[in-house]
Amino acid sequence: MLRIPCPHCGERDATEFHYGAAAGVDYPTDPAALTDGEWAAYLFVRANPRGWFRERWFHAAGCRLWFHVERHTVTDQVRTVREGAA
Amino acid sequence: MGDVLDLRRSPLAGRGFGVDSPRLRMAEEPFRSLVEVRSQARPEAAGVGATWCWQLGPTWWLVDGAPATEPCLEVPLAGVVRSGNEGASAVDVSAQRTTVVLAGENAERVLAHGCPIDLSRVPVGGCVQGLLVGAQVAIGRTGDDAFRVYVRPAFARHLAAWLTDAAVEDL
Ligand SMILES: [Zn+2]
Repeated sequence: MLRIPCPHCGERDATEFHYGAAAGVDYPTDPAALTDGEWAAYLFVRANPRGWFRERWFHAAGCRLWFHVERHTVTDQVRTVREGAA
Repeated sequence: MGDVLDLRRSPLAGRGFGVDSPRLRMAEEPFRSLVEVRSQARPEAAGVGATWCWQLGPTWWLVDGAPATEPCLEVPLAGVVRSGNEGASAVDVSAQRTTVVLAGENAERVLAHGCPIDLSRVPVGGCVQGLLVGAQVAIGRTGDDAFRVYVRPAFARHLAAWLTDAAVEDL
């Protein structure tokens, strides 16, 4: 079982969380100005690295807060955790 | 008009749920007065007549008081938590959960059968939210061997059936 360290509740089973995918993907400032290709890139294109990856998690069954985790996609080791929704 | 409260039906009414043995007691406490508070500071719940105040998140609290004929904690709590703090709120959520109480030397053991959270690290007065046999619950510790489990009505029968079964070896 993958274990996720919630900054408020401590380490819990991943089944208590909702996965929020890559962190740091900002909503376009003027979405209407984007081409279809740029919009598709915003929606779907992610780095998908083999290694350290910054991602968002939501503690759905616990404190119901969003936070950031830096996780190694091969080992599932977690390096840093930060509170905050954005 | 008869007593309108006679028309209420708790989620576990008529299910035969309950245990009263030397090492384990389990029962539903229906119709508790529950209020969720959003506030930076712990609300002064005792001052408005509430019994328990559990921390559900960094700024999220669940206040638990005795059953009443109408929402009785929301207005006084809102007055307390909003004084000097416009962002705070108090909302009556009595119908959102029912309460199951467990007590006795085996109470923690029974819960541990279905809960991956280490309850031995929860102090008296402390509360954890998480999954108990798949049901989202808040578990508050009221004593060394006493707990209150707050569960959604839709999951209460599932939880009660599981507790009844899980407790067989711990009576
Ligand atoms: Zn949490």
